Amino acid sequence: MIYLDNPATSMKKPSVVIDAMCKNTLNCSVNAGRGGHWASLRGAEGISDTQEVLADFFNIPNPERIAFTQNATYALNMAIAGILTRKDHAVITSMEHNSVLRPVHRQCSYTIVEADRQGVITPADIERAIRPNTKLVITTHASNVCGTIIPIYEIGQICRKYGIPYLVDSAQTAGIIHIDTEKMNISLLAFSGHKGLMGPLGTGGLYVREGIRINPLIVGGTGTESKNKNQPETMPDMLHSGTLNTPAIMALGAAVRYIKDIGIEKIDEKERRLAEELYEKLSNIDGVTVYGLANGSRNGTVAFNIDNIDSQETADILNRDYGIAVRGGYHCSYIAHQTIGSDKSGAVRAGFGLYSTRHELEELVNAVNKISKNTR
Amino acid sequence: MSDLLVVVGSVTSATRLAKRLAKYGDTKARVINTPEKLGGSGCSYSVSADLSSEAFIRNNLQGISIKKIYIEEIVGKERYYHDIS
Repeated sequence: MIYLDNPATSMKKPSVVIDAMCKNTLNCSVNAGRGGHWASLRGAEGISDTQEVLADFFNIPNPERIAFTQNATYALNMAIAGILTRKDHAVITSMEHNSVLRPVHRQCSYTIVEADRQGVITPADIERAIRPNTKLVITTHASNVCGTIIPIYEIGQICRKYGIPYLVDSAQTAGIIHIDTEKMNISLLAFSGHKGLMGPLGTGGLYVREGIRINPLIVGGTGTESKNKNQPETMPDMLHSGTLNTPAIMALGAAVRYIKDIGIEKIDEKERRLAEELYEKLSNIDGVTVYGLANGSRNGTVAFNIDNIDSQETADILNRDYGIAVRGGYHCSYIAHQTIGSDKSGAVRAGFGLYSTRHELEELVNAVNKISKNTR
Repeated sequence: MSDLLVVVGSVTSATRLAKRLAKYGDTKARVINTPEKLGGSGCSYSVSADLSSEAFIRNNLQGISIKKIYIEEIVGKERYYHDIS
């Protein structure tokens, strides 16, 4: 089996993560921060350790401003519903996932800044979209469809200039491409723990910069201020109602330490080079269309179509006849497909991960070659 | 016998402070539930530490938000708390 659905989740996990998950399930399946006994405090310490390693990784000044969620979608909803109201306006891009588009569409008025056919966003277009009542600018860091990177540093500087908070969806880049919340002026960072960060499924989080208040999506037991009918204002308790997945969060900490040991620049380069090579090789096959940027500002995700075959059918043939796991269709991001011109039948998406190899790339290219020949 | 009792806003703050004291403050610290009479709006967390660590605590907060600092005085079976915030 060849697994190239890494943009959805990194299926293969490092052994240190599996070890941490097993060990902590055995020894630390506790309700962290509920009570003062040793078990509860051991869990709280494990969660705090993961906050600290993430804070160092993303250059977040105060680890306590990181709240854990089960995925990036939950974190994005928490931020969008917690900040925007009916009278507000938001700026998003045409490369967003539905986890941004849908909550924004439900919440307030918004402007979609159009990317070009390769998914490239011009920062000046973001600036032009800002209105007097714009309360939040939200962009993905990289397209989950074709891998094009959004210039978040430049957009962050525009947000600084106008004093507007900037929410970045890093589902496709956390653990793959360097993120510095301070330099990039990121006010809110939504991340998934189970993709590039190589943590367990059901992990993710939201960083909220000091001074930004989020109206919590969920309220309830936090283990603190029990007599108070209102949700505590202290972070992370304010966003941590209910029992946390302590063993998984602790295993996420092990995963981030593992990524740091390897070096994020190496991961970035490896995945990008594989994607560039795949892009080039697929482009040379007659009857194949490849989307997004050929090289440069991209991550390890490549979108393509074989002419006259529905993308879902191509994905099905690759799975059934070649044992290659890729994803067809619209990838929960129809507006991105409209932008890059694949909205008729979606596209086939192949995404490299930390453990992907050149052999897997070649197997995919050979398979696409054969399928393409069979259709002509 | 007297100890410092540092009341913080969350178990995360308490854990971070205790870790910092153990690592850099050269003193043992313990996370405990705040005594009911100091709890205010209900359950909260505190760090119990040696009296000598007061200066370190005040100078090395690194974003840890402290609500109150008390000196805990134990006389017989009674515990008294003196606010030195």
